[in-house]
Amino acid sequence: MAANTTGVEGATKIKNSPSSTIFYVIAYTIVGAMAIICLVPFLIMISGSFTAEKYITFHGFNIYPVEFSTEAYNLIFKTPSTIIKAYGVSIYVTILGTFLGLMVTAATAYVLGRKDFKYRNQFSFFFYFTTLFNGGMVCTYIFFVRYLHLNDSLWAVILPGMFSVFNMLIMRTFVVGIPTALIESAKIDGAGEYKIFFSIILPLLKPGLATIGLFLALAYWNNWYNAMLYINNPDKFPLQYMLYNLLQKSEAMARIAAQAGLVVTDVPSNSLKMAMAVVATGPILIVYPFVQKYFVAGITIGSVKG
Amino acid sequence: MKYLRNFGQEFKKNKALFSMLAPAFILTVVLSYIPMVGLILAFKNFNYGKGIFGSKFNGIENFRFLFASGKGWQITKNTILYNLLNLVTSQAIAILLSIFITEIRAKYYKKVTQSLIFLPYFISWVLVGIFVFAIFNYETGLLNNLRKAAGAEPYNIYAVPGIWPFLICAFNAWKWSGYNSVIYIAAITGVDQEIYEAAAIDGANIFQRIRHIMLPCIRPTVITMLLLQVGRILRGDFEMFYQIVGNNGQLFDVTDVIDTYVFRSLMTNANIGMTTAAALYQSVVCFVVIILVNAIVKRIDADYALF
Amino acid sequence: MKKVLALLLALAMIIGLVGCTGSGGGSSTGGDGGKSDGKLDTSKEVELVMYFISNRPAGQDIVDENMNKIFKEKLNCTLKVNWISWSDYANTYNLKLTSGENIDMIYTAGWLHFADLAQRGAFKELDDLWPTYAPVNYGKATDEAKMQASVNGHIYCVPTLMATYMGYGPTWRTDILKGTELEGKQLKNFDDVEKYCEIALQVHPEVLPLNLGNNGSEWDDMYMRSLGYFYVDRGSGLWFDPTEENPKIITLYEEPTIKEFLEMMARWNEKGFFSKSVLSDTEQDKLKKGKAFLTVHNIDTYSGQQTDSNNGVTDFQWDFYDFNKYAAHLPWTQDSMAIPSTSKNPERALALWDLITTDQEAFDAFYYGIKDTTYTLNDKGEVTMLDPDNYGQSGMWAARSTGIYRDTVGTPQTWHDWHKKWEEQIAKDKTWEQYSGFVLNTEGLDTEVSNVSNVMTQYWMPLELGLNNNGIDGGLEEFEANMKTAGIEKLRSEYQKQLDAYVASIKK
Repeated sequence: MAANTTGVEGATKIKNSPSSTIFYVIAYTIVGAMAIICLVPFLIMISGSFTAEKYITFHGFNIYPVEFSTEAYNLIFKTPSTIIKAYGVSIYVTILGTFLGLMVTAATAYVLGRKDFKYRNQFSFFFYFTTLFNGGMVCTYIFFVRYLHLNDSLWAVILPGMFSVFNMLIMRTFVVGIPTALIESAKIDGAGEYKIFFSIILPLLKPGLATIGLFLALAYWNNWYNAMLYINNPDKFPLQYMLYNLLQKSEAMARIAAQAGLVVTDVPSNSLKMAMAVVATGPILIVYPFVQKYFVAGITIGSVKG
Repeated sequence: MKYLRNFGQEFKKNKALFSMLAPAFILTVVLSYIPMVGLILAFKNFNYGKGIFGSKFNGIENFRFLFASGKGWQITKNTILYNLLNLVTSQAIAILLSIFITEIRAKYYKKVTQSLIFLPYFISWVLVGIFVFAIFNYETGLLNNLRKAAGAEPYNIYAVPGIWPFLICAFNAWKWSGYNSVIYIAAITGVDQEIYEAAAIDGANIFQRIRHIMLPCIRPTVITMLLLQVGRILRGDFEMFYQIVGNNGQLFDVTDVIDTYVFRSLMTNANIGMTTAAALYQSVVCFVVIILVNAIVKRIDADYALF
Repeated sequence: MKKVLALLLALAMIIGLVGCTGSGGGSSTGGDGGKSDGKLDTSKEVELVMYFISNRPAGQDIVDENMNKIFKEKLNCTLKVNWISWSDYANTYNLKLTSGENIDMIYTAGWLHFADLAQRGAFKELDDLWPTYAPVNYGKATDEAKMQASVNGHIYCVPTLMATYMGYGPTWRTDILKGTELEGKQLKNFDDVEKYCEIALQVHPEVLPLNLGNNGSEWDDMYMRSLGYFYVDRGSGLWFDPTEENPKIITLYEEPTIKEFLEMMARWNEKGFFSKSVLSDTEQDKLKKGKAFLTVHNIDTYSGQQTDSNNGVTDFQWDFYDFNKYAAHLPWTQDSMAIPSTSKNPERALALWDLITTDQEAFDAFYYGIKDTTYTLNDKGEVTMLDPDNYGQSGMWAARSTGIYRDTVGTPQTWHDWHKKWEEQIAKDKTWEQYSGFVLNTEGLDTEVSNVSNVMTQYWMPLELGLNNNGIDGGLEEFEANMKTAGIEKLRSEYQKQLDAYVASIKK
């Protein structure tokens, strides 16, 4: 495993020509600039959540809270049990969904990435076809509710997100990168298909698994759509659905006010929207650095082989 | 029949592999293929009491709203152009970032920047919409405040539709570059480290390494990503357009995409057939495009084709 | 490859055909066992399911428990309330009606496409059920209400029993005008609006004179109404003059003085009465935040703001004036209750609705919750919600009826005065009121309606706010041309036929 620690970093230490110095200056600058562009709106969001609404109304947003206030958070946590339950639902759905989804995705991608699997193109097309055509909301909804009885069940949130063709096809590119010889030699050693998959392929797929695992986790965490369609019981609302509710409410109310004579009341303020976004984003941010190490370290096929 | 027999033999031989496909297969049939029956609604005048099968057929009436207004071509064109523009910019930036980040040696700089470029993913378009207005509005926007401070005349950006495609494209790249770069970084890391070492020992400089090692190794990923995006060529990111542009008719000529147009149209009635019709139109065009592109890719290098 | 695909697809389709057989298919009349002898059978306990649009209040549980005690005792039924939240209604309202889920009562209104849904078989026909099982409610409903609730000659919903009025006009902040020449004066016309806004802008430059946002302006409506026009369809910009013997429908660009209106709006834009980027402004609560001086809307906007002020929530003072040329009731169907065609207990549902809408005790329990826990009453019978964050008033507005619905403590006297005034005006002058029973049938016109509404958004809204780059003449030309392509003439001729038929029917 010694190769692991040297990796890309070790390699780049060897030569440092003037042209590569220019490269590094550019690389550091562009990446740094991009990081700042990405960070600032996020800071404004956090700062907005801690700013008194009155200040935002008349002076706009700022990168730090000029008129500090925790009013928005007080309102969100007025009934803490609601938020805590929502956290629970989100975490449950994310963990279970990511785990199951990762298994299904990896297994499918592995089979379809095997060049000796005769029907790989047919099956790929079979799966890919569903990204082009779907039955639309109505029939899907009727089928889920009347025949699968998924109304008010968290499975209605978990199942549709488990297998994404997009993720599977990305995963397949990682599988294709694994030398066929490795599988062949394992077969000669008498390993069965399951053993090859679990003890040889999966370890080699670590960067791919980390990527897809991250995407699955984010997708589950951020999904409000299925909850909107199928969940009625407020005890089963995920966090992002509550956020979505809050963010869209004012727009929906104003639209109706313009159409019908409805009077707009209780519109969520900007600071409340920001605060809810912070509350809903918080925990998932921790996941990224945790996954990151799989991208930094890299893998060495040689060490597995040896 | 011969075909089926072959399939049977293959199935027996590779039971294990088929069993690994089974979960995804079942999920896809149940969750995607069965509800596909709903597509017939595109050709029906939906009746709530009679349901999907009981409703009467009404030919292509449901498709008429897309084209009868004279806007059909414009929104189709906008959708395609935005997708192409976004495809090129967000992928190019993601690839560039991923190469830079893997090459950066300062460990903390690398880790921190890599985490930061991911942040926009977490900011929902609704909030982006609020920020966009805060930056660009004529009277109190940040942009005009800066211009005024510099002694320049305020600029009414909402009266200049031509700027918006670039703004939208920039926001899209900002939102997705970090996310996409993760895929490329993983692809680069997924390469056997021994190759890098060998190259370094051979005295390859950084540009040679990028050209001869990194780019070839992310090529399958790049092609897959491009194909996946091309397969969505007629679908617009509704939330993005809706939150940034909203109801601002001044900008519709250059910002209206199929998804926003359909959304607005369906605020006026309860005709579910029209939604289905629009979705079917998008599907069919995407289908034709991806079949063509995939066939071309297959010609060039069969390994890179999607199917 | 093609064969295996075809096979798989066929397989999927077959499973689909078996599985996904759509909704209900249910009968459109009758109910359990066809007991139509007019007597309600309450021997079996049932749970009724009601849907309306609102967000579920945190303190709903105790309210449910309390009201169900009453319902159980009187009708041997309980009510389960479900919510379609604000953010979702555009996506899920129609879906709930397709799924065959058992729903017994659902809120409906014009903006939820009541007539279109009824015409598409979503609701039960109530011609006999309503008078039989909700007789008190039926007796209180006006003839206009019953006409408005009818689609193709049959009744499909139970409209609210609360009278509301078409009154429309500016609501403005009087506290800003203190110390100026306008203090204590009454704003009465469009010229006044301009003058008031100018002064307000001088004294409080940080406050926007006009409250406008990304949903466009209502000033076009206001202008047409102030000229005496009555709307056929606001979304399509079609109006007619009700004083004509046989009224002809006109479009906005055919109103002879429309240019004057557009010039006025462009001038207001120039003067900075609203943001030049207004159509992207998503801030919806400028009035409450004190960021806007004047808005044009119905009187409830005024009374809402002034009530807040009277109760110490804000420290602004407000006034209201009606710019309409005539007075009329709003359609009673603007808040209604419909019974989805899938309901298994329409009789009990109507009986319960009768109870809620006509019995004070039941209404209080349903609408306000529990006395001294969620609300209190003052000696005038006006209501104060104790903890609106926990439980505000119900979102089932259709349940309100005049006489039973309680005003909120702090409702300004001006509100009552205007209501009295409108009632008197309607009694004297039926120019508008005679047309309030006119309901459009848009069957077969979906394409034109949606295309025209898109043109309104794209071309009319910017033009109206003086934001058009081609100036007023160029903008009007462009607007007219696009309206024609979108099919405005087809709409107009269809609507004209319907209007002619209505005129003939009221002349009889």
